[in-house]
Amino acid sequence: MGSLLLRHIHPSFVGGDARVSSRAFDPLRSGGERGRNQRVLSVYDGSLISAQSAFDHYTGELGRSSCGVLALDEDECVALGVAVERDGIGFPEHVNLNFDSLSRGSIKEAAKLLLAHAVDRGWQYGPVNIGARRP
Amino acid sequence: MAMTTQAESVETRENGMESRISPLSIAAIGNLVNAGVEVDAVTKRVVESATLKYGALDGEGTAPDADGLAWLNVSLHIHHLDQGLPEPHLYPSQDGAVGCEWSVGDYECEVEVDLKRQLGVWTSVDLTGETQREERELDLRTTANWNWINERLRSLAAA
Repeated sequence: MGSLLLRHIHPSFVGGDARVSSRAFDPLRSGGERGRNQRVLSVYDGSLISAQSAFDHYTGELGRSSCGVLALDEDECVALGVAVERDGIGFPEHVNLNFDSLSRGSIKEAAKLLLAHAVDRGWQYGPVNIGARRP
Repeated sequence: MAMTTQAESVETRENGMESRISPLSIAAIGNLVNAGVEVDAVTKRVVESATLKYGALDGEGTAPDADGLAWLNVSLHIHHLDQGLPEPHLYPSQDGAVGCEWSVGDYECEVEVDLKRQLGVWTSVDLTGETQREERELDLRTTANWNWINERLRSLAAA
């Protein structure tokens, strides 16, 4: 088993019943953190930072919205054709999940399968402020 | 309270008679919610989506079109809800679209709705990997395509 990769879940992608949308793992529909039409998602390397510290960094230092942290195993990503790139850009724990090798339809499918893995694993931090969405 | 809207009306057929229903504007529904009127979960989620000023992300993306949300809300109520199927979970995308998602047995299903063009893309994914992903483009202005969605969900639930 590879190391865990920590993904922040934007409040828009969590319903009032705490169900999470696969959009949270789809770079084409969540926008990723690099803007539109980018096939990469940003995650934190869970071997270098705890879920709570990652949450504090993301919502505090970076000033972004999150209602909690889900996690993927590196092997789960690789098995679906998603490359794991530890680039450390912006902060040392930064990792890119690169979906470049997948078609749009395959990205949508991979996002649903990744979400299922993450939900099975459970929240690593949170969820907090469910239903309190920021415009 | 303004009860009219520029949102497109929705065609429906009952007892062989065609009619058109003009949806309340999202602002009007929001006023009702704020006044304490109980609404169902789907309508509540639609109103929540309308509060997003910039789409799904922090200051990025496109906000869902309010008239399109009103049309989607009425369409779901006329064509999909009360069919004995699980209710859809609604989520905005960064491009202003809205996804209607259903978890049905081993399947994750969704219709990605282009609110302005009133078109959708159906996707279903078998989480067990035993069957291939299914995709289909749908014109959501037609009752037949909503019926197709309902039948597909019913079929997957029974699989």
